Amino acid sequence: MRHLAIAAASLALGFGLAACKAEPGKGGGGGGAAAGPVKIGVAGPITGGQAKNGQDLKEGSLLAVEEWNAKGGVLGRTVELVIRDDEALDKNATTVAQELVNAGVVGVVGHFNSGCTIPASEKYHEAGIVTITPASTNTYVTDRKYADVFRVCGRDDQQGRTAAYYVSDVLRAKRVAVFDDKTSYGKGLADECAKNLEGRVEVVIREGFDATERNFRPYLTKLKDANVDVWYFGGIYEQAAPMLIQASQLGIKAPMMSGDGVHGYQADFIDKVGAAANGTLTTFPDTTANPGYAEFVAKYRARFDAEPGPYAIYSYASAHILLEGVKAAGAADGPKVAAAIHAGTFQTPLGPIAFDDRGDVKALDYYKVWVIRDGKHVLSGPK
Amino acid sequence: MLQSLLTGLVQGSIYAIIALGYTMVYGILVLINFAHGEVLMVGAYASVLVYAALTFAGTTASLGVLPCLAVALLAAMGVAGLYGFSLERIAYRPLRHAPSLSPLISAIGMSIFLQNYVRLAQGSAPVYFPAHTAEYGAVFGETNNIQVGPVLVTPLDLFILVLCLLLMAGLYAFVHRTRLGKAMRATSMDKTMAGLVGISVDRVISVTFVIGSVLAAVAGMLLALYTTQAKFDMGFMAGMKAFTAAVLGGIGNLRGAMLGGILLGLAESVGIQFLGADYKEVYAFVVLLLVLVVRPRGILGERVAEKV
Amino acid sequence: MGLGERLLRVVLAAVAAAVVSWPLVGFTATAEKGAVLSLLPALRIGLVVLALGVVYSLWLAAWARIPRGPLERAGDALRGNRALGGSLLGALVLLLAAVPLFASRAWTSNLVETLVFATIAVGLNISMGMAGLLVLGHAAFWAVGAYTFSLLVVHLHWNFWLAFPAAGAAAALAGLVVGLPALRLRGDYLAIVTLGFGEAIRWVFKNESAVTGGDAGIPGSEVPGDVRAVHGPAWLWQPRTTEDCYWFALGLLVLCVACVTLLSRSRYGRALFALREDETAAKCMGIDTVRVKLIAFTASAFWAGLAGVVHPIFRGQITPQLFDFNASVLFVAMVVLGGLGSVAGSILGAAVLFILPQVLRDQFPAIQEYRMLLFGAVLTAMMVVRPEGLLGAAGGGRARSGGGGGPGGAGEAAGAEPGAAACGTAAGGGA
Repeated sequence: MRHLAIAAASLALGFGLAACKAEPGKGGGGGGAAAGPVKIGVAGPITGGQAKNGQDLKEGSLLAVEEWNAKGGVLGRTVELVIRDDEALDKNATTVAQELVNAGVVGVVGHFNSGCTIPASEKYHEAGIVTITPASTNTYVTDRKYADVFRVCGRDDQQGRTAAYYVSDVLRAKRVAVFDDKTSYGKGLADECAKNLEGRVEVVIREGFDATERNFRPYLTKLKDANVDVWYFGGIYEQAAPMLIQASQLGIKAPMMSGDGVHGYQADFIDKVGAAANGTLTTFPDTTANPGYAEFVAKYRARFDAEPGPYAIYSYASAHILLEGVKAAGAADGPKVAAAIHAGTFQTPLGPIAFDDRGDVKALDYYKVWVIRDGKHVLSGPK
Repeated sequence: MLQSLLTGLVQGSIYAIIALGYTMVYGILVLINFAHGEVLMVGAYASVLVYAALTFAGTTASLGVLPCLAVALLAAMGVAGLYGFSLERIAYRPLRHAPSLSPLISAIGMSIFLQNYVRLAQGSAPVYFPAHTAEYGAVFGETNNIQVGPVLVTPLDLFILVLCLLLMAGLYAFVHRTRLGKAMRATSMDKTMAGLVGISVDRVISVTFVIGSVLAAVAGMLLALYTTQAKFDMGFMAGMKAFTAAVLGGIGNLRGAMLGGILLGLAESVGIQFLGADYKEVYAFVVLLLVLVVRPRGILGERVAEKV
Repeated sequence: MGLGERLLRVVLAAVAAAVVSWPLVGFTATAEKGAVLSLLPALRIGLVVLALGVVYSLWLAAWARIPRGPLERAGDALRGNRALGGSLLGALVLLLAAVPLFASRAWTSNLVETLVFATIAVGLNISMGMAGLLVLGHAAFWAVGAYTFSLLVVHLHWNFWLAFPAAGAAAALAGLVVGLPALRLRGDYLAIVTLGFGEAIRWVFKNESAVTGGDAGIPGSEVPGDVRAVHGPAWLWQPRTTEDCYWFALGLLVLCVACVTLLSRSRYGRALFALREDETAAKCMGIDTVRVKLIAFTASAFWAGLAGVVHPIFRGQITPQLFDFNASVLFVAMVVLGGLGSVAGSILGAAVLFILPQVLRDQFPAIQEYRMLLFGAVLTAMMVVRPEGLLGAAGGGRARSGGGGGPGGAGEAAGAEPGAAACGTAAGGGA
């Protein structure tokens, strides 16, 4: 009886397999078939609390790919996007990565969160697939020196340093609190900031809480008692918004400072927080100063009838670089494309971009400090 | 220290309200209602949406914030009650005589279903309580904060505490003073006997679910006010904490759930104050384990004689 | 219940579904843009419920007319024939072993995780199915195994075949440590303590980042390394690729099934079943209940620990997120859905619960968004239709003999349930 039941169970498994065998062969690594469309993966938080980031990622890449397809595709083949959702969770990132590997993509634009990009790019690297992340700033992403991993944005050590110098030299703060959300991105950034503050400003609170936390009163009352001049948060806007509202209800006057995860979310962050957002400091490059920015925004608005988020332009540039790489390599073959991307300089709305041997953008120490005034980010100066 | 006691008390009284729903259902059906947190989430959404609509219409400005909150609360209670009622009819009633773990899985299924249902219907991004309006600030803003010695009391703290106390007292009176309450107690002692003496067991169970859900809706709105937002997955963690609280106090015992909830909130906030935030989610369980080692049925749980 | 009455109920259910779903699918509002009211999504939900309910009612009516004699006789014939069953089983294991040779890479990797979850579910069946303990933190033991293995390989450069049993041993030890105080508690009190332990372990791995790599996992930015590295003689085979992982996981499952089957037939296994049926009576018969429970609990933890070895290699990395409460819930669901106490049921439960979402995603891209919604609805529906689990002990004859008339409650719920599933489908459509 028992055996029979096991047999039945195994049969079910077997049938499942027989059924899947019928689907067109999707095996193999990142080589890609010679005919058919060139497949490009896009992976990030398409849904969830960071869905705005996923939307930027998806729409930025889509814009680039549509432009290429309008010009006849790449290498005479059309470009197809394979979009996958990791919900900003690292456990999903590896699964998603495996799916993209199985789908036979040549390269991936993504992921968004460092905690997702790092494990996922291990999979891509293994399969010889190019990874270009538009937004993951954790240093480890490129410090592994994989030849096929690139990043179009800046690094947390640059960003953390900029923030720390601003706190000590411009704000002349004496006491600082540093919080993070315990993720690769948030903790990495907060650690870099705290490291650079060391010896110059007293860090009176250094604490992390889970990325799902929404009640910040226990930390904020501690913060209020500690009487700090400014508090730093390594994390994402979805937590920063309730944190700022709660801080204002508690009457905390010291401003919050944060990184790129909190910069540029007008509807999802600043509008939700209202007046309590004023005074908040962020570090982010001045993308608007680039000559191609206005043109990009115009194209984006025309296509999606919406305002691009902070990383839409980076996603657009990433997809563009990837396709230029395919074109220069003359084949949809991961390692060749990676070599071509290392060799070239690419014209993007962010200006010309070339990569160093780690895969970071060359000569980019460009983080600026912004402050929110009257519900808008205003440049507050580099130093 | 005193400040963290207040924070813990406020958070704890929200836990207590949720835990009451768990403990009532458990008392009658011996079932862990895993989808209770999702009912809370549904209530939170209803309250935020109604309040946001009233804000847009200018009603909060003309009529005042508190009456509008009351309207939002009533709406949330109605919607959550409806969901609690349906939940029992769909997922629990057919399983009343099934093996004891089956309703648990059925409840887990409903919990996953409801989360995704709301995610699809209302989006995966959180919806915010419109806390940035002038009239909201005039009531819950920092200008109304009261400094009592070393403790800062915010109007929101007071609002939550008062509402929770009223609810607990009301529920206690309902269960102990009304006929329906008496029927509920009888059913929780022995379903068969209750049926024999003329109590409509099905009706009592439905009422229990509706009351639990209505309480969850209040907790949902308070949580949305406290954390400033509602999100499709907010019920999960709140539900987990409240479940722990109910067990801590002795599951099935109303006073136990209230006590457990408040103790749990205090443990968390005092823990953060002195031991740091790293193990915040663990403090509650450590307290639970310590209590269970001394009292295996929770603080107020009775030692039930085993039926042989 | 006649067809007419059933259809009437379906109509009522459809109306109810539309009414109940309206506040959340037909109403959205923000303070900036105002409220949007619409009746259409709720109406659509009602229609979908109506359609599904009608189809279901007709299907039930048709099902009642099918004679089941021949089918049953064939089943009985097979059941009585041990040799045939055995050889069929052997053939199937061989067939499964050949899977990576012909299946696509995508399916091989899906099946690796299915096999791992099946092993954990079969192991969990010892404490849940046989001893009747509700364990809501089983992912913790899986995590202990996975982390022990990864830490030993990455920090201490242990060989795979040394670290593998060590993972099982560490998990078993953890089981013992938790079990000692926890097993004196009953039912739901035990459940909450295991739940707490599961969460606590995850937070230890998350917070002690100097050793465990924190949220970034191991190997990761804080603790770099390679879990697939070969430490020791090169000729000694160890799993490294997806296919290796598949064979290794299959072998582990076969071993686990063999051990658990033997266990359930032993004197000790009978003691476990006795415990599940009536703890007090078992105690009176001289069974040392705490000791028996402890052994069951530890054995379950042991298998979860061993199974924990596969994921680090298969994924190349593990993070605390992998072992969250959802994983524990999934394990419990696998065991209960398959049928408490049934080894094959646990395997089937794991296969259904893990493969179902994958198939929904891969084969029906159009409903990808509704994947988890359907998963939840199907989970509830399956429990309502078969409360004792797919291959549960109360299955077989009893269920079939009751099938015609059926308890009214079950029929009613079954009629309502597809409606619930439909709710969401239409909800999404309207959103």
